[in-house]
Amino acid sequence: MAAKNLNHKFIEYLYKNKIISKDNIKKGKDLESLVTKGIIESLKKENEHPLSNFGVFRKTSAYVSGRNVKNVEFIPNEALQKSITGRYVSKKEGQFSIKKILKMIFVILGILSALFILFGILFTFCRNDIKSFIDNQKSKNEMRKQYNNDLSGDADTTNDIVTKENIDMEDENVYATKEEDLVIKIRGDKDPELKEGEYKEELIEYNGKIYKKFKYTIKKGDTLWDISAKFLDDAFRWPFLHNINKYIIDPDVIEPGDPLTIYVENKS
Amino acid sequence: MSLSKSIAILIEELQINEKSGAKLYDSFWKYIAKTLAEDGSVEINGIGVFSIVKTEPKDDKSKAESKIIFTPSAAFKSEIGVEI
Repeated sequence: MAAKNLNHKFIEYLYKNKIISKDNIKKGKDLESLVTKGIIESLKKENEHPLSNFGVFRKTSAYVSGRNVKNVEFIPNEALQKSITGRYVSKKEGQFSIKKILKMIFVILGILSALFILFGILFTFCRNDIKSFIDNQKSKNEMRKQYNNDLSGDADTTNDIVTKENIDMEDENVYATKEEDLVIKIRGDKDPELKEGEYKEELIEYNGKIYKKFKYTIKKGDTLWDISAKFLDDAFRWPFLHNINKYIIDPDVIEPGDPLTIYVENKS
Repeated sequence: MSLSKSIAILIEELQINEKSGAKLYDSFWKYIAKTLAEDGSVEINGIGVFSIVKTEPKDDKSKAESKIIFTPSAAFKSEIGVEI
């Protein structure tokens, strides 16, 4: 059996477990020889020597072939023996037996059954959610259809709001927006009379509500944030402007001279 | 008692107090138990080797066992006056 460098590892153990400090490392170095010395001196005089919580050294004597043979044996502490026994599994214990396989099958079946029940419960809940979602979507679609039908008559007359069925997507001045689940198509155009920073205001009717429609020409230094604050009284609604004016690809980059269409509900 | 004698040697040689001596002695054997469990064997110079031996079951009903055995060194036997 190869001897291990007990001292070196033991010092590490003592230091890690804060049993000795760095200054006292020297003391730990002699520990193995001192313990040995203690055991030897003790066993010279006595027949037994306890080894703390590890076990006991006991001197024995037996008559073998007519002569008294003395020896020394180690009796491990019960707790130590148990802890050691628990760490080792014999080959026989590790082998597969029919009993073990059946046990495993039952465990797997049990887990599968539990999963099946769990998915069943989840599916029941999800089915209700899916159904309500589909119903919701259906009602929204119906609403859209209704709105589009309502709008189709106005499209030719106002020239401002047209349905998606008759809109000309090739037209550069056509922008689309989606607001409150209602898809509407808004036609915007560049007004040559408006200089940078100027705007025109008009009222339009849409779905029974009156809206203020601003045609604004972007001036140098404008941001959607500022324009939103000015016309919508809320700077945080700038995404709404970006949404309406679809030609703006990057909301951080708007060009002076470009038109901006702004809709505000006319509460007055 | 022999145990207190062993601790007394530690206290005297290392010039530490009684409490520290007992703690150090306990720690030593705890470390030996830990090393034995992890490595399967441990040698204390001047004493001998502690090792774990697996015994195969005698028949199908009996289980395999692990035993701790101690093999004293010749020097140790000689020192304490037992047969070599």
